[in-house]
Amino acid sequence: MLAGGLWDRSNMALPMCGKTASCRLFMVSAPRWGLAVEQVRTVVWHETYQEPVVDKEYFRKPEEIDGLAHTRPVKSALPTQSTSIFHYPEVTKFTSYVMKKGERALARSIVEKAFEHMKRHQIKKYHEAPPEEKPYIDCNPVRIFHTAIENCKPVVGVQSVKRGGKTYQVPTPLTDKRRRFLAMNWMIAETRDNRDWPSQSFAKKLSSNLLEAYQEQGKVVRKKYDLHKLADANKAYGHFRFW
Amino acid sequence: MARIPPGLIINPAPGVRYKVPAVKKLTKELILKDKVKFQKNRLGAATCLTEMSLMMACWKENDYKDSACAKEITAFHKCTEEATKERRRVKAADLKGVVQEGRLSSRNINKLLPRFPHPVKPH
Repeated sequence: MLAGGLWDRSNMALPMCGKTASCRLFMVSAPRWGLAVEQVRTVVWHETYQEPVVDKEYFRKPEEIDGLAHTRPVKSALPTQSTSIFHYPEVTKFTSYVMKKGERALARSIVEKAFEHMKRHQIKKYHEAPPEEKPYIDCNPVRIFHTAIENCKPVVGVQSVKRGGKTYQVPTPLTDKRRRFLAMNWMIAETRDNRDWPSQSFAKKLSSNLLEAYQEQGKVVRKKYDLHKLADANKAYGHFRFW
Repeated sequence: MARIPPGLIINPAPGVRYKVPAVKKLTKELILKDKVKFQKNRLGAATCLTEMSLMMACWKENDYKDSACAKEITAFHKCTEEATKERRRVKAADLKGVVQEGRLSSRNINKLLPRFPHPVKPH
C-alpha cells in the first residue's frame, strides 16, 4: 500500500488545500514583484471529502476505527478507476494520451479496436503456425501492449545544460514515469504522423506499431535506439550533471 | 619614469604624501540583521557515471541491444534509485533542520536567528 495519497486514510486533521487531490491544484508563479501561488485547476469537492479507496482487499478486512477519519465523507471514484481484474492502469494511461479534447469514449474505443486487431492477427498467426511454434505465440493483446511499451522505454535520456555559453546534451538517468511517458508518446506520435489517411484507421496503425515494437522492430524502437546513441555520443559530458 | 601610484599628490602640503580620503560618517547602527542571504545548496556531483559508462560500453559491443546488456541496465537502474533516495533523504533532513555536511542551510539559519535577536539599546 502506498503511503499518502490514494490509499492513506489515517490522517485525522483536515488536509491542506491541494494535498489530498491526486493532481497539483496550485502553481508557484513568479510575477515581477515576487513569488505567488496561483490556482490552476479547481476541485469540485470540499476539503473534508477523502479520496476513495479503490481496492477490494481493503473492504474485505474489518474496518478499524482509528481517529475521526470515518466520519468524513468520501469522494466518488473516477470513471477511470476500477476494481475489475480486467482493468489495467497502464492501458488507461495510454488511453488518456490518445484522447483528444476530453473525448475519452472515442479514445477507449480506438484502443480496444487496436487490441482486437492485435488479437485477430495473433490468432491467425497461431492457426497458421506449425505445432512446435504454437506455445510461443502470445494471443493476449494486453500482454503484447505491455511488452511493446517496455521495449520502447529508453534507459537514459539527455538534458540540455548550458556551460560557458554553449549548450550541451548531457546524458541523464530518467524516472520511471518519464520513461513510460516517452515510450507512449513516441508510439502515439508515430501512429498519428505516418499513416495513409483515411484508408488506414488509427486503431489499425496502432495495432501494427505495437506488434512491431513487441518484436523490437519498427520506428518507435528505433527512436529509442537513437536516443541511446545520442546519450552514448555525449557521455564525455556526463560530469556536467549536478544533480 | 617611475609609475606614479594612484592617490599620490604632486606638490603636497608638508607631511602629506597621499590623498586623505574623506571620513565617512556612519549613520547606520552597527547591528547585524537577523537573517542571512539565501544560498543555494552546494551543487552536487553527477552520480552513477561508472554504471552508465559500463552500460554504454556494453551497448557499443552489442549494437545497442537491451537484451544483451540486461545486467548492466539493472545495475544502472539500481544506482539511480539509490541516488534519488539519498537526495530525498538529504532534502527531508534539511527541512527538519538537521545539519548536512557540517553546514546549516540558509533556510534553517533564518529560522534560528530571529529567535535570538540582536539586543537594541534604548535611546
